Amino acid sequence: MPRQGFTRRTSLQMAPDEQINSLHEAALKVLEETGIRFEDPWALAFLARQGCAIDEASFRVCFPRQLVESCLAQAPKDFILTAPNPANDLLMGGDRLYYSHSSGMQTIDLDTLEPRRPSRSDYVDCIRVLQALPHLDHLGCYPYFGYDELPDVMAIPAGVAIHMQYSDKHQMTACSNDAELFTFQMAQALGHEIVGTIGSSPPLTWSSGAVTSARRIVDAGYALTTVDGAMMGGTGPATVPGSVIVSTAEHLAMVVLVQCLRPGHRMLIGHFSAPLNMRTGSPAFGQIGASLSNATFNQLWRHYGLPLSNGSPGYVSAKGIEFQAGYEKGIAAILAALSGVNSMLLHLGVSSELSAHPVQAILDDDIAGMVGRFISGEEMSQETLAVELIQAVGPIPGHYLSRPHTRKWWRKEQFIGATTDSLTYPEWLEGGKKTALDYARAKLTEILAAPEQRFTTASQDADLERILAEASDYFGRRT
Amino acid sequence: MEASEILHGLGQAVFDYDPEAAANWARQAVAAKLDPLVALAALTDAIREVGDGFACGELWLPDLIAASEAMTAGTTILEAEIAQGSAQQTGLGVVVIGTVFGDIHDIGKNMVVILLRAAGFSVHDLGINIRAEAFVDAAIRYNAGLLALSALLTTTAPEQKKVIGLLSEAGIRERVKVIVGGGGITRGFADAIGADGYEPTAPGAVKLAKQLLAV
Repeated sequence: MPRQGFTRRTSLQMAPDEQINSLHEAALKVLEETGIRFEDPWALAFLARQGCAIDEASFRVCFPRQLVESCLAQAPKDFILTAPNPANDLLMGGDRLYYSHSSGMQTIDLDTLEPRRPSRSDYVDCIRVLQALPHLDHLGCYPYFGYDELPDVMAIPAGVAIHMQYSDKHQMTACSNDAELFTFQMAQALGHEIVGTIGSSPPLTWSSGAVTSARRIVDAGYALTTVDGAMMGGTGPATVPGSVIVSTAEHLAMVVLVQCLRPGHRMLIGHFSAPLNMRTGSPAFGQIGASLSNATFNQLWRHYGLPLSNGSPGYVSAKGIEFQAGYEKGIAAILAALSGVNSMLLHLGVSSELSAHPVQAILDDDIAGMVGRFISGEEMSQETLAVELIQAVGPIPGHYLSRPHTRKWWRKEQFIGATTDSLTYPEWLEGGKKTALDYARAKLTEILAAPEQRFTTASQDADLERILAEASDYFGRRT
Repeated sequence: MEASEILHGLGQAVFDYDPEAAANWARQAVAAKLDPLVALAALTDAIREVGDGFACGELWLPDLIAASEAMTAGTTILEAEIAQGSAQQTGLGVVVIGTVFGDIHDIGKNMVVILLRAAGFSVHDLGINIRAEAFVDAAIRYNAGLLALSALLTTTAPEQKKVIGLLSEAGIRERVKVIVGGGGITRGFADAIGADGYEPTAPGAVKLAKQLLAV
C-alpha cells in the first residue's frame, strides 16, 4: 500500500486546450527542424538508428514527429517506486501529489542566518528531521552539498549512504560525475530501489555525462527523472510559453532516447525553470514567473500523462527563514499542486541554492499539509451535505459542537499546522509571544531528542563503507 | 448488576460521548439503589479526565462538549434522585455563570461550565443574553460565592460593569467574587471595571475560581 500523499480533486487550467496544443505542436516543430544537441557519439549513432536525422558536426539530432509521439505513448503513465519500508512506497502519477525537498550548498546558523559548512552531524540531523516530517514523502538529492572536509566529488555517494542509514523513505539521487557508479552499487547491496536524476543543459542540449548516466539508470532498471532548467530570458525565451517549449523539447528528446533503449521504462519529468534575475544574472527563484512556468508546463504534460515533478517551489530568493520565504514557497506550492504536479520539491531550502536548514523544512511541512488539504477538495455526499443534521439542529439555540458528525468530520476538514500559533491573543502574550519560527525550533529539538533510529544493519553499514572507500579511490585516482 | 459495573458504565458513557448510555446507566444506578453521590462522582471523574485531555491539547472542543452532554444526561437523573433523598451534594463552591445581555455566544462559557463542574463546583448556568438584574437575583437565590460573566463582543462587554454595579447596590459585592472572560475582554478591561479576576482560557478559569474561593 503506497504512501497516501494527497489526491487532487481539481486542476488549474492556464489556457484552453487548443492553446496548450499549440505548445505541443511548437515543441514537435523545434524537435523536427531545429533539433537537440546531444554531445555524445553513442547517442548520435543510436538515435540515427531510430530514424532521427543527425548532423555530426553540430551534434544536432532532429526527431521525426511520429517517433516522438510513439515513444511518448510507450512511457508509463503511472508506476510504483518502492521504498525500503513498503509503507513509504510511492504511486507516482495520476492525481497523486507527493512532497520532497530541495537542497543547499550549506546550512545556516539559526541565530545569525549566515551560511556555514555543515558537519556530518548536521547532515544526519537533517535527514532525521526529513524522516520524521509527516508530509515529506520521499528524499531527494543531497540536502547539503557535502559536509566537513569531505571532498565535493564524494558529496553524492556519501549523502546517499546517510539517507539509507537514517531514513526508510524512498530516495532520488542526482546522477552526475559518475556518482551513480557507486550510489547504484549501494542501492543494489541493500536491495533498495533508487531514482536516478539527470539534467539537461539548456537551451536544447543534453551533455555526454547526462546521456551516460541515463544509460546506466536504464541498465540498472531504476526509474529516471529528467530535469530541465531553462532560465527565462537567459537559457530560454523570456516568455513562459517559449521557455516551456524549450524545456518540453529537451524532455521529449530524452523520452525518445530512453523509450527506444527500453520501451516502457519509468520516467518522471522534472520541470525546474525560473526567470533570470536581470540585475544579478542568477535565477529569480520565488518569482511568480516560476509558478507561471510550472503551471503551463504541467498542463501541457498532463496531456502527455507522464508523472511530473516541479523543483522550483523548494527554492526562494529570501535570505533567511522569514516572511518572504513563506509567501514565495506557499504561492509556488499551491500553484504547482493545483496545476497537476505529482512530486514537488518544497521543504528545506532557505536561500536559493545557497543554504538549507531542517527548521525551514519543519515550517515548509505545514505549507505542504495546508496545500495538500486544499487540493484534496471537498467530498460531496449525503453525509457531508449534512441536510438531516442541519434540520435536526435548527436555529439558535441549536449548535453542532456536540454532534458525532462534528467529531467525525472536523479533523478531516481542517488542517492544523505544527508551527501554527492558534492561541487566543492573551494566551499568546502570556506564553511568551511565540512565532512560527519558535515553534519550529522547538519541534526540531523534539525530533532530535528522540532516540536515533538506524535503518541499516552492521553488515549493510560495512557494505556502504566499502563502496564509499571504492568511490574515494576512484575519484582520487581520477583527480 | 454489580455496582462497579454501573460506575464503570457511567464513566465509559462520558468517554464514548454517549448521552443515551449515560442516562441508561444512571437509571440502573437508581434502580440498584446505588448512592447517587457515588454515581455522580463516576460521571464527574470521567468529565475531569476529559477536561484534563482538553487542557493539555489531546482532546478538542467537540470532544469536550459531547462528553459534557453525556455527563448532563446522567447527572439530570442522579440529581433528581439526590433531590428526593437525603444525600447532600458537597462541592468546592457555588458558581453562577452566563453570557451577558446582548450577547448570544456561549461556546467559551460552556467550556468553563464543563470544567468547573468537572472540578467539583456546583454551577448554575443561566445561559445567554442574560440581563444584569438576573445575574444578581441568581447570585442571591443560589447563595453564590462566584459570579462568572462572559462576553464575546466588545459592544456587550460593558454589561459586565453593569452587573458589578448592581451587586454593590444589592449589598452583596463583598461576598460574591466576580470573574470575567470572553473574546472581547482583556485583563486591562477587567481591572478597569473592578472585576476580581480575568482569565482568557477555560482551564485557567477553573484555577482562578479555586484561587478566589480559596478552595
